[in-house]
Formats: sequence, structure tokens, C-alpha cells
Amino acid sequence: MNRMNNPEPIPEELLSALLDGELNDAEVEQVNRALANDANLRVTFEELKQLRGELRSLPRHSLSVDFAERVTAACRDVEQSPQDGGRAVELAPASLSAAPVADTPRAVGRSNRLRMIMAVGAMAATILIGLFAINAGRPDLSVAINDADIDPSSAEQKSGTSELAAPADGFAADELAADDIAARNVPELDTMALDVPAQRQEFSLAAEESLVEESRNGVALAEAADAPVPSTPVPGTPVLRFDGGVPEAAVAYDAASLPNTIDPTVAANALDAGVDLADGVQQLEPLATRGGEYDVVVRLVATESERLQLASVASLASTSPPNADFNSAVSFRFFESTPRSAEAEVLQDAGVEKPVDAAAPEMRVIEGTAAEIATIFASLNLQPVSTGSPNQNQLAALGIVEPPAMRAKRGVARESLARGAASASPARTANMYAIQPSQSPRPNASVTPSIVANVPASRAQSAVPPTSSADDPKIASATLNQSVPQPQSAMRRYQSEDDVTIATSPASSNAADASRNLSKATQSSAGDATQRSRIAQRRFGVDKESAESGTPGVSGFGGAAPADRRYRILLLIQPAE
Amino acid sequence: MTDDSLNQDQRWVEEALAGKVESFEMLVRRHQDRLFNTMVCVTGCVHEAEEVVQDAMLQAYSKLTTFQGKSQFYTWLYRIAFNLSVSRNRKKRPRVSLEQAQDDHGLDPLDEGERPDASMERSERAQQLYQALNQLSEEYRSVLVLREMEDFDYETISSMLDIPVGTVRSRLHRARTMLRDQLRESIGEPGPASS
Repeated sequence: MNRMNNPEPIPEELLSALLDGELNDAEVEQVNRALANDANLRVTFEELKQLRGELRSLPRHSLSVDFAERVTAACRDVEQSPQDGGRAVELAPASLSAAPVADTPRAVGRSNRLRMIMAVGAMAATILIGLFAINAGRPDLSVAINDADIDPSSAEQKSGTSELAAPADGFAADELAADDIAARNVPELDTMALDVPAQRQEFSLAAEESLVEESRNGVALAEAADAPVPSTPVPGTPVLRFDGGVPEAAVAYDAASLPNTIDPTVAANALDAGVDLADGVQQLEPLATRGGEYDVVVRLVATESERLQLASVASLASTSPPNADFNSAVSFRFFESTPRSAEAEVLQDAGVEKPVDAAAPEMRVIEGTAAEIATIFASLNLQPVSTGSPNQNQLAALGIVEPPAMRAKRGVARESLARGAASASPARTANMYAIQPSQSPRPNASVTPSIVANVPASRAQSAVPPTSSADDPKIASATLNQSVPQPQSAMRRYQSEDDVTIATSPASSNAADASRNLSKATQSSAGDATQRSRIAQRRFGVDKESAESGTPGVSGFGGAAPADRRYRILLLIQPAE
Repeated sequence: MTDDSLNQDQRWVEEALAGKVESFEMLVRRHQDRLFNTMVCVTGCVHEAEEVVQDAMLQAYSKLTTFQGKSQFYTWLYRIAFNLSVSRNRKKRPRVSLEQAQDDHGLDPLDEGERPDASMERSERAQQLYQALNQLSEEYRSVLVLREMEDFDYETISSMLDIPVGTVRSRLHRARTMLRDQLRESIGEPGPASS
């Protein structure tokens, strides 16, 4: 074939690249050949060239001569952020975040806005975990962890473990004692956030014997201490970033009052660390209902399997019945470039029809209560991870999952849990979380909803238990409260924010089995309720009084979050290399 | 920017952090017009661009301690300004066109001395370009502005926007073709050939 007469077609974007001098020699030659043989291509190239020239010839303007002086004058009244907030999260400028639209800077004169900005500049840096605890002290736990599918007869199952941060029956007494100490000494997280040095000292007292506390605070302290953040995240390394802040006084979900920005400096700093929040926000804009404000931005580098699992959970959540709140708990922007799938159909239903850029970070907006978000986060924990995995550490710091170090202690227990899970729940759908319906609170009983994590169906159906840690189920679950009465019904649909179910019809019968097995398991270990609730209290920031009084709820966010408090989280999920 | 310029920026940053506000003023002076012109393209509104630049400078000053020097100061500053513009854009503020700004405030281009009719044509075309730019979504506009207004190469744009170089290339091309099509529509030309 005469290649000169029949040059292979080229992607048109090469024309732009040629224009920009971004092609290598071979590509230049290829494009030139194509141009020589295609008049239409030449026309397009000339059009692009002309357009480029026009853009570059746009009139250049200058600001007024006194602009710099005015800015400098304003700067003199602005306190710079403290040094230790190098990577700390800043509360958003009040003018940009807390005020309803009507009070945004636009409605304020320029001088007032400058004053607002100056005032904001004097605000102390906050630590990301603290934002979740803004409403600490409120009642109502919304999610807890149940021991699921643990063979009650197995002695080993007493040290049940859970990817979802199960307390272990097998905690040594001294560890429990340490937990108690830590729990008693844990300050309210909303006060933690405001004073990093004090927080560090405080936690040094409480956390030295508690791996959980260390890991929970590790993120916050590391952030506050301006710990170096790799510019190129290694697989599994999350970069938790805060957004511009949530109004501290936010009481209830109120779209009008939610901030509408990501703190630009936070975004800029994130960019330094290789995380582009603004781009993520931009790409989410078509789906964003309230602009780009997030309680937290979590960037994860996830394996393909993890991404798919998250997509699966997200899809299930979005197709779940009909609680509008939960259906809005997950919105998603991109999926892998797979053939049309259920996820893609859901995207289309959401009015999103964009080409999938497999190389782009996958972004998900998670919006929901702590319970719902904990469920989603738990789905990121489906792969067995080695002790000390950054993902695990970070998520453990949020109180969502058990710290890996703790989990490592229960390596043997994990196997037994897997055996129990496998035998107890045949044919469960992989990667599906079934959350038991919550029970009505009873006096003096901590009745909590539970998250039951399923094991992959293949393992579930197998009568042969896993024999090595590598075969551990992706997910296990544990109960915190052993006084949960046996659920009367099969997996129920989501009814309220305290009663969350992610289920699909094919799994409902299996979920019912799981539910029944769960109850059986929970009832059998009633004696550990006190220990579990104590650990849950420390781990999840459960208010001790509320836990003991029967008010359920665990935030999973390091603080006692109210059940109705809605969070908004941006997940940036970068494919692992 | 040359290495000397980058070093100078770094020195001014350090001096500003040490309390010398005048050094920050030097940074402002150095980068204000460049940032302003870019923001005019980004926001499509002169007033808004000026406010964005002002706010960005103040934000940069108040958060200067968080600038770790892993990127150029201007890059960092640009990101602040760009994010501010994004947030403002969402609030859909009414915009003042370039023409109106010129009429109201005598905001003249830096280069002057043209014939009146040439100046009018240029202004009209510029207005069309600004309007067409505003029609682009932010993801496309951002790459186009960074390339055409800031003259950043693909690698720099890739790192600034945290997108792969291939994505930069494809988006840039797409942005250009979309802009071309928008301009055609604005002057009533027939639809574009498929591209």
C-alpha cells in the first residue's frame, strides 16, 4: 500500500497538538501527511490557527494604578494563617460559605467584603475531623456495627473482627481498660478542631495507649503539623481535604444556607499536593445541587476492583427504594469506560450523558447522613488490606473502619469470622451491604441499626471455610450491641435515616437470611454488650450517656453525629497504577 | 517566567511571610494584570474579573503560610483566582460586558492608537470571543484559557488541572472546535463541517 497516497486517518485533536507544538517528530510527520491529502483537514487546521491567533490577540487590559496599593492596604489588616496550618483546613470565608445566597459578598459593598475577608483571614485553621464533630453532643446514633454471621459456637469468634471497625470480644482486659481511659479523656471533637497544639497535648494523654485514638488523630495531627503529602499519591494513599467549611451553627439540612464554594486556598493547596478540587467540582457541576461545598473531600487511589465495588454500592444506593433522601445519598459523575451498564443507565436517568474518561479521576458526591456515608465508605474497604494501609489508616481516623493495627490483632479471629459468615449466609450477593432495620429503642438498651457486610457469594456458598488470611472475607461485620432483639422482618427497605437498607431484590431473600443469622449471632454474645459499647464509644465518639440510655447512634465520623445531619462528601477516586 | 523571576517571586513570598507587606505588593504588581486578563476571559466580565483578582490577592496573602512552594507562586495564585471565579460563576452574577465596562469606566486596552473603525471591529470581535468563551463549560474553558492566555504547555496544564496530558489535548481541541462553532453561530455562518 502506498502510504503517501492513503495516509491513515488521524484524530483531529492532533491538529491542535500540532498547533501547540506538542507532537513528537513522528506525529508531526503523520499529521503533515494527513494535511497534505485532506482538504477538509486543512480547512479545519486553518480555522483553529486563526482562532488561536484571535484569542491571543484579545485586547490586554490593565488594572488601575492603585490596585496594588489598595490590596496591600487591605492586607495589612489581615492576619496570616498560623504556620502549623500548613496543610490544615481552613474554614471558608464567612462571606463565601456560611451565608445564604442573599448574604453573599455580592450583596455587600466592596469595603464590607474586604472586611469580611480580613476577618476570615484571622480565623484559626481547623482540622478536618473537627468539622464532622461540629454537632457533637447531639443525640441519635444512626449506624452501628453488628457482629454478623459469627458462629456463636465458635470460641474464636469472640474476637470477631470487622472491616467496619468491630470491637473485638477478644480485647484483652487491659486494652479495654485503656480504651476506657481514652474514651474518658477524649475531648469533644468540636473543641478539638480549633486548637491544634492543645489538641495534640490532649490527645497525647489519651491516645498513647490507644491505637485507635492515634490513628484517628493521626490524620488530623499530621495535617496540622504540615506533614508532607506526596504529590503523586501511591495506591491506597488518600488525601483528605477539607472544603471551605460548614457553618458551625448548621442545625439541619438547609440547601439555602449551605456554602457554595470550596475554599479556593484549600483548593490551591490541594493542587500543590496533586489534588485538584476545583476540577472535581467543575466536573460535578451538572449534578451538583448546591454548588461545590463539601464537608470533606476524600481522594483515594483505588484498584479497579475497589472502584467497581464502590460503583456497585453507589448504584444500589441510587436505585434503592424510594426514600428520596437516601436516593440522593450518592450521586456519581463518572464510571469506568465499560459498555452500557446499570450504572450508566442511572447516570442517564440523572440527566448526565457524558463520555467516560477512564483516565480521569472518578468522582462521587456522597450526600447523606453519617449512617449512609459510613456505608459508602465501608464499601471502599472491600479489599483485604495489609496492616497499615493508608486507606485503612485514614478511614480509621475517621472512625469509620477499624484501624488496621487493631485488625491485625485479630488475624485469627478474622478467619473464624469468615468461616462463620460463610456458613451462615449462603448465596449473598457480593459487595452488597445489607443494613438491618433499626429497632425501636428500648429503655436501657442500645439498640442500633447494624451494617451487615456480605462476603462474596462464592465463599458464602462454599462449605469450606477460608484457611488463610488471604481468604478472609472482604467484609465482615460485628455488632456493638448485643441486646438487639431478633429482627422480625426480612431486610427492610429504607424507611428513614435511622433505618437504612441497601438491597436489591435478588438479594432480599439472602438478606433475610443474613438478618436472621445476624440476630442469632448478636443474641448469643449478649454478655459483651458493655465491652462493645465502650469500645464503640471510644472508637466512634458515641456519647456514653446516649449509648447507655438507649439512644442509638454512632457517627462513624469520630463524633456523635446527629442522625439527621447531612454531610456532603466529594470522593475523588484515582485509578491505581 | 524566567528562573530569575521565579526566584524573585520566592524571595518576595518569604519576605511577605516575614511581615514585609511591601514585598507582597511587589507580587501583586507583578501578576495583577496577567491574572486580570486571564480572569476576564474566564469570567467574561471585567468587573467580576477585577473582583476576583482582588479577592484572590487577599486570599493569597491571608493564606500565604500555606503556600509550600511546590508550584510557582503565579500558578498557586491562579488557582485561587480560578476557584473564586468558579464559585462566583455558580451564583450567576450579572455580568458587565467588556464594552459596557469600557463605556462606564474607560477601561482601555493597553495597546492604543488604532483607527476608530478598526478599533470598533476589534472590540466587537473581542466581545464575540468573550461571549463564545463564556458558552464553554468550565472544564473546556479552563484548558483553553491556560493554553491561549497563559501559554502554558500541556504538561503544566495537566499538573494544574490534575488531568492527564491526553485529556488536556482532547479537551483543548474540543474547546477550540466548540469555540469555533459558537463564533460561527454568533455571526450567522452555516453550521460547521463535521469535525
